[in-house]
Amino acid sequence: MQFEIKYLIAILSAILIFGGLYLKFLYDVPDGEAITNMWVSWFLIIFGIIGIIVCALWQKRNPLEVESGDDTAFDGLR
Amino acid sequence: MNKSRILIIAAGVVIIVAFSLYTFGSQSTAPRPGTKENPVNSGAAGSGGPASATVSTFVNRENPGNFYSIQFPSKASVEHGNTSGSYIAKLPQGVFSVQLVDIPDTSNVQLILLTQIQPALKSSLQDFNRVGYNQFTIGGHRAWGLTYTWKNGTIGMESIKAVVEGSDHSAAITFSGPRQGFGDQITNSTVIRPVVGSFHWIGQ
Repeated sequence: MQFEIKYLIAILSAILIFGGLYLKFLYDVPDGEAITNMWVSWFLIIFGIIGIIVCALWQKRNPLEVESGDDTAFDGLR
Repeated sequence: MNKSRILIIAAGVVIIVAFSLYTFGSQSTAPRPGTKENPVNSGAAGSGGPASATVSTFVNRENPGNFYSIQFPSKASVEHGNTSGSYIAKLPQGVFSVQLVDIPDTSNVQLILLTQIQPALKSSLQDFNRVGYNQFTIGGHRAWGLTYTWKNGTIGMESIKAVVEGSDHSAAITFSGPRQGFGDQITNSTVIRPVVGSFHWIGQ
């Protein structure tokens, strides 16, 4: 059984989201570092969400199936 | 593109937009230092002051998780301080300052007061001399008071700094005035105690 790369991306994305939420809500931000913390947590969570979306949209293509509606290329074979 | 894909993309976009609005919308917009602050209301003093005195209530909501309110005498000129969540109130008897102090999770108010605040005062004030240190309660929260004398040029000054424990930050309320008359009963009962006693955290 081959491990699909989309699961790896999903796990990494979940880690990014967890890290972002930790920085945002649980980490005790030192004085003067609030802006840095805000941007870092925002980027982590946004990239994590994008990663999860990419995984959800990921579809393994079957090389034997042709999804194109253009059948003219195969007219010569028929 | 089928329906489920459109739904996934729409849900993702909604989550991203909502989180961005939450993140950037909750950023504090602190006024510039020196900006005159307006009270939320004015009225007669509570139990801490004489019935004839009127006080103005100021509510600070600049730092999420560290909202607080405090009352100053109505005759005080109140400005925004240098840092977010701070006030400076000028009175004939002296100057009040209120500011939020970050207390790391690995430390506590007492430790910060003795190892950071007091050494910083000692190095920045001329002839700093600690004359008192005590613990008391303000609005159900523990507080530590530091009384000290120092010199502003040739004028002898005295200050009392009360640091009130909070769930995230603590609040440092400092009153400074000339030593002559600082500790008298009138100043203490009509200015210092009512103001310090009026402080309370909102939502803690």
